[in-house]
Amino acid sequence: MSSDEIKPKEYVAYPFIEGENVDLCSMNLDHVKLYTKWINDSKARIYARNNRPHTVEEVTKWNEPSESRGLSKFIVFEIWHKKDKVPIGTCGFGHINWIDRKANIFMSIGVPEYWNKKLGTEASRLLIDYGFKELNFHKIFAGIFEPNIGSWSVAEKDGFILEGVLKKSQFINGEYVDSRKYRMLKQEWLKKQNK
Amino acid sequence: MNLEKEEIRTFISGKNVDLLPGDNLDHINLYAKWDNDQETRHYARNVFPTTPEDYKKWIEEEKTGTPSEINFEIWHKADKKLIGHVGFNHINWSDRNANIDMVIGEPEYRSKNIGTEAAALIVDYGFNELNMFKIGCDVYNINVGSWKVAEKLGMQRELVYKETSWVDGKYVDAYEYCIFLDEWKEKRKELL
Repeated sequence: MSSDEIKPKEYVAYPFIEGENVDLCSMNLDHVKLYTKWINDSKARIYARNNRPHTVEEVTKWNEPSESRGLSKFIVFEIWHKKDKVPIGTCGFGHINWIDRKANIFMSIGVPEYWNKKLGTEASRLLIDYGFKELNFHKIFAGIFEPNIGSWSVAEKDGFILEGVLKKSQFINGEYVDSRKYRMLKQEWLKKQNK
Repeated sequence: MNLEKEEIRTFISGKNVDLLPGDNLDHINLYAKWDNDQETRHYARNVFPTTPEDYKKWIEEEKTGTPSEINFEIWHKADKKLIGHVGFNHINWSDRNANIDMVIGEPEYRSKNIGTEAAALIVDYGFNELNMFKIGCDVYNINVGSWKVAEKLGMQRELVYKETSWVDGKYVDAYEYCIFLDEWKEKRKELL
């Protein structure tokens, strides 16, 4: 598949949360080929734990409106690059537990040219604000594999606290690696805001 | 030959307990009773009611592929009684790890090392038959009985999740316990 086939003539954004360099937008079924490309991308998928291929049809299905009347356990956003006017990745909350008021934060910049430009950091700050200010979470947590130093150093800069390390819990690139578990409690986040 | 129902279904046999398939339509009333029982569901975190019909639906649902969870009934051998269930949830086949879930539904069988035996049987099954590499469990800090069982099995406390769940009107911590295959090879000699 050439990139021309993936790329619509013009991308359209529906911003839900506006940042400085990136916006968090609703997922867009017109961009589903791009999402599928990211999810299968051999570089990007390693740390996102996608060890099986996914088809455009599957990814479409995930993004179609749900018939369920219950409150979703997932909230997913498209990360939109404001200046370049292109989607560059996805982020959101998974495993949302509305009783414990906690959720797993996830982030994936699918386009390598946008890595290491603090765009993930900005997107994650927008998400954390949304989680605590709008969704009334008590705790936001994240699991990051030891070799993914880029991601866990961003998490530490953002004020996430290392809760502990699960030893040899994931098999990546031919070996068992540790998983670092991070958390941010609402009161920890508030303390950071006041500084 | 006239086999009793339990004999036909016994899958793993221990000293005091046997493990039988955990999806018996004849027992859905008992499964729902345990899930709804206020004392039993306390640490199992069943905060929504469950009906026998829910179980019927889950059991009858079409399942394909290698399962990501496996459940067993725990039978007390001497009393010929179904007393609880134990199993693996979230089996991750490529990382070769899983977490244990256990409920002793009948109160008179608690605190008698019966849960420890059932858990030891399932850990052994996980390592010897399912080729797992690491087996763990999550337990609330206030659920002392359960994390004592994890320690009796030789599990190590890997980490503490702070204020992770709402139990009894407050946020409580959870412990994550685990054991690796090579550690279990030694420990099983004591326990089984």
